[in-house]
Amino acid sequence: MFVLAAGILRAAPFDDRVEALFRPPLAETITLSADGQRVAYTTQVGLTLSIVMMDPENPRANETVLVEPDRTTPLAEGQVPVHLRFLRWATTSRLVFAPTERVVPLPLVIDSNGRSVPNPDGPTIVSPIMAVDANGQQRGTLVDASHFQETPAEARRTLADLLRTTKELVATRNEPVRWRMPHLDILGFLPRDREQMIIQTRGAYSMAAQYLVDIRTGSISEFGGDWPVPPGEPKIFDPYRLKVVGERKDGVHPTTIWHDAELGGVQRELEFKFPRRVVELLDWSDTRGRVLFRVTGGSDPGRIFIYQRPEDIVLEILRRAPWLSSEKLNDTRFFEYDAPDGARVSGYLTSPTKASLAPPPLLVVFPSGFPGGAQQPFDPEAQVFADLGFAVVRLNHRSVAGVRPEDLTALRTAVDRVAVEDARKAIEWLAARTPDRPFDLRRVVTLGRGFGGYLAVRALQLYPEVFRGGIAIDAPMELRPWLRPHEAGGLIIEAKPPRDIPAALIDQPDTDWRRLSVLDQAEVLTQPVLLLVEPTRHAAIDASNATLRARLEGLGRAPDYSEIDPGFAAGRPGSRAVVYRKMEAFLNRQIQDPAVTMGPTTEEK
Amino acid sequence: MKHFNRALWFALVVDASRLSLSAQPQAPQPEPQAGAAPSSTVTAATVAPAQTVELPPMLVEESISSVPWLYVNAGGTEFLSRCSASTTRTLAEAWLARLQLVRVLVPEEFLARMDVPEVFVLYGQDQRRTVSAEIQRELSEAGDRVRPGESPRGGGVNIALSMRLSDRDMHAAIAYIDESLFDAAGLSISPGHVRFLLQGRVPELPAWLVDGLERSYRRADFVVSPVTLGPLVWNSQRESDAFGRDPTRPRAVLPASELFATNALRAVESRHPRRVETRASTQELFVRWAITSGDATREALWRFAARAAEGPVTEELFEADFGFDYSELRDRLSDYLPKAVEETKRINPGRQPLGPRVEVERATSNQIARIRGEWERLAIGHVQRRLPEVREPYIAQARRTLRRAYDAGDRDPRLLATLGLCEIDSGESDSALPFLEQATALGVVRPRAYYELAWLRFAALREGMPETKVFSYSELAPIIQPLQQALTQAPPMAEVFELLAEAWAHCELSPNPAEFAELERGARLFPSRPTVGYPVALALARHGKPAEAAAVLDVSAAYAMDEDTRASVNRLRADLAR
Repeated sequence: MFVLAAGILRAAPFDDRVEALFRPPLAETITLSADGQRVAYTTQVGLTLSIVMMDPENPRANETVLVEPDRTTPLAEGQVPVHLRFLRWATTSRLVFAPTERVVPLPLVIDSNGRSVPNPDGPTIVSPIMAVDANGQQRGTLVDASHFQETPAEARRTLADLLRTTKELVATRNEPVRWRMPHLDILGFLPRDREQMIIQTRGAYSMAAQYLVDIRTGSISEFGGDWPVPPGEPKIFDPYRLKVVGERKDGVHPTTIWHDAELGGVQRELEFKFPRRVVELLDWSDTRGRVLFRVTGGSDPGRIFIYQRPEDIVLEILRRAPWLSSEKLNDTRFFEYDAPDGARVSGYLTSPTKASLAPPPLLVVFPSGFPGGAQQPFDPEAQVFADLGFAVVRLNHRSVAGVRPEDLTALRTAVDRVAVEDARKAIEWLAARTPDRPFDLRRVVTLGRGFGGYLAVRALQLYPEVFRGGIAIDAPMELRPWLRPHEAGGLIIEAKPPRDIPAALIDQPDTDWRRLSVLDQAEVLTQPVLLLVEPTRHAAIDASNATLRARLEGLGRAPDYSEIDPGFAAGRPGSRAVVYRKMEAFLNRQIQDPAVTMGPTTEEK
Repeated sequence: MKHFNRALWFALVVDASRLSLSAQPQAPQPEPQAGAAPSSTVTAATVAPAQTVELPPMLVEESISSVPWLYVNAGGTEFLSRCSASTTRTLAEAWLARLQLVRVLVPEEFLARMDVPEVFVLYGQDQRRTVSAEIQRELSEAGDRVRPGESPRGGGVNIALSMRLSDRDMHAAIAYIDESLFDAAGLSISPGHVRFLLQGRVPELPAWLVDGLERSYRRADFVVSPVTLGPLVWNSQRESDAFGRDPTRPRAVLPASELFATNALRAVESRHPRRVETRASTQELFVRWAITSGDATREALWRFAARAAEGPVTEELFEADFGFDYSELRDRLSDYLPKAVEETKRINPGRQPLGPRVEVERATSNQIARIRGEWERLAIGHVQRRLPEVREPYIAQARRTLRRAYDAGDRDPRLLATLGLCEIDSGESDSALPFLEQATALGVVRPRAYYELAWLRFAALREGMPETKVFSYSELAPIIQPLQQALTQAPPMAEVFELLAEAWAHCELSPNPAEFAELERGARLFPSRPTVGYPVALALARHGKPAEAAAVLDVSAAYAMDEDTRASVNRLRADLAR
């Protein structure tokens, strides 16, 4: 009874903590006004997206507006919250923003043969471009795709037809009139008159056309110019000098190659001010006297600053997760070193602020793809496990910044061994080189999702003396059916499986699939494993997990197994908290005193 | 021989600020005005406005006043007092107890250490009689030249009631006490004095630490509930209040890489008022955070401070002490700021040791002459700098006081040293020499006396000689030996190392290992002074220690220096690199 009560008492703070850690950070999108005096950024509370407009020198005048004020019903389960595709100050006092475009197909129609066929009209494109004053007033939609709804040229037969809008045309005809909507691209603002926004239609029946939209009245006029379309990511476009000034590069850390000497200089100055952090220039004023930038790294989820260059001051305008107390965040350090074969291996080590065991056990987390994207400095999941008392190592694959030619052969034949061997060496390196952040080499467990889960299990098979237990989340236990979904049962299960791994790297004519298989080497899986699967998400994963469970049961060591709901993958706090508690219970069993012989384990309820 | 320039440079009055006495020491004190009866504590006010010349009070002659002088020697301070015995004892005890509390905030090893006792003159006589008749006459009869309240510079002339003056190896204060108002419980030590103690520390503390500590000290209560840090004032009270309403409001906290910048980098950083304000506020925030965040962080602060005094600091050094990096520090300070403007934090002083026994006795003629003379000597430099037109009466009075005892047969080496230094400060080097020789021969504890003697001898030796002339050790021994003697006393003086290095650089004999070590110690103690590092490097290089010389110059190069010195340093570095 007491244990139960204690568990209930503990659950609420843990759930709250998980919710706080996984809450979307502020300022996913942020912009600075041309005069550098105002900032606008997004904030998502639950599934509601808002925009905060602030004057950093007078923060009491902040205004918050909802992106979708007309929404009266909450988003349905699985519905993606709205994001912004455009956010810029047109003038010092007027902000223009545009939610991501929604394409809504029209219902199927029945053809003359009675079969369902795609609707020849539409789809409906919801692409509003909105504006609001800095004081929150004069908010409204300036223009939407519906304004440019088109009919085919042949639908307009008379002069009167030509003078009608598409809606009028449809309304006046007895027979159906085909129609489509174009996509709307925002190209920027007229430099000589920033109250005129330049947009471009794309798609529908016509050629692409450009228009001016008055950001005060929403009135649309033809634009005779051929305004260049700003390039998207990874290129960086200077909206004031109308040129590409840099390019973002992925790697262990995101970097920017600046073509503009002045901005390159600013980048260097800020990197001096924020050593060992990632500094990303986000926006700047027209004179570049004010530069908006983001700093990430260390244990912090990130902060946004304005570099006031004439004063040489960096003004911190917001923390991206102010609800997280920095004192309670577990220390996270980046590390990298050269492996014996010269490859660069990197990752993050998160050390628990409060550990119940000293030194704490170590949880090794494999990346979910290969080579996958680089691990982010701040990781809510690592914080959860550190809160639970684990030191957490999150590894980048050696090829995260590009595959070295000399690694190709090894990766093609033994991607699992390369990755697991790197992890093993990384543990040794960290133990030797970070004595101030100790962990218990006798209590090492591992975790991964997707391909990372596969590696976690392979680590248990390859080095059972190192890894005492592991958790595999939605992990394939057999690579071939996972990489070749169209072969599974002779049916195409999914056109594009959710994986982040170049199949061609592994799937070679001479690939030894048995050597890569968890299933075919099930007898060497002697360490405990927790299999977490979201059923029906991926047939190959469902099947291989079921087979592994059966084989291990046959060997007399049934694995722990639990189904997880889609909320876990979607990052929903409630689902996450439930699963993390299961993981905690499992891991705690594995890290009991290694000198003590464990009795029979009981199933976690 | 005269060496006016050097005397001027030495200027004696390295640090001059007035002292006032206040019954409400924690309240901000207005500038005490001459003639006004200030309140009751020893609180240094800020330096007088530039247009007003503050002159030190000069005590009337013994023959004019019948009030006896009392003497106390306790806790490294010599008090000479014309107040009552009880007031003198109470003040001495309170002063020493307050100094002890300062050490709660700043460990003793980070404060100036001087083997020469501090001098404290207390008086409570009529303010009109604080200026000797000669000086009053000089001021009033100067007519167009100088009139009280109307200096030739266009500003006013005030006689400060209280003042603190310092030399390189000692310091002195004079304080007017209105005994009818005096309350020792309200006595506090002025931030200016704490700053002096911090700045006098060797190796020299970095400016960010001195400034940060001084500002923190200003907000500390040492009287009612010692030691309590009141809420931080971030830039202004208005801005601090705003943080109370909105802890998330934007803030500019100086990044740590700039907070701990060497003075070479600071010399070229933006002087924009907001930047200057941000630096000052961040320095205070850092010191406060480090002192109030627990024993481990406080210890880390002092370890780091000790390193910073010995040379430029790096992020790695910081991390070794604090356990996290520069960017993390900036974040922590930023997050601490909204709390700091709200919180009152008490630092438990723990059990304080019993203060030294204070015995008040009637002052002897030697004590009166020596201490008064010391004060009057210090005043010469201050007047020379602020109002040279009235320098002569101050010189005359100091000589009168000192020589009266000397002529009466007093040969106390301390008196002799003061006599010699008085002549130096008066520009009469030839007259100084015999006094300094006698004083040093008697083993006086007075580092500057040894230095001045060596300087005079070296100047005499080199007179008329080419710059590159090399001397034998026997010729240089009379210069080197007093300098070495000076280095056995506190504080170690930069000038001593400079002159010692210069002497060795002109010596045909190589220093022995201990003497090399002595030179390198100078470079270590004064890393931020290329005026020490450069001659030390020259001496090392001349005597076959190029690697050691290069190492000294590498450290010096990180600090600010004038263009000529930098050119010399760079030239020597280039020569050593060949």
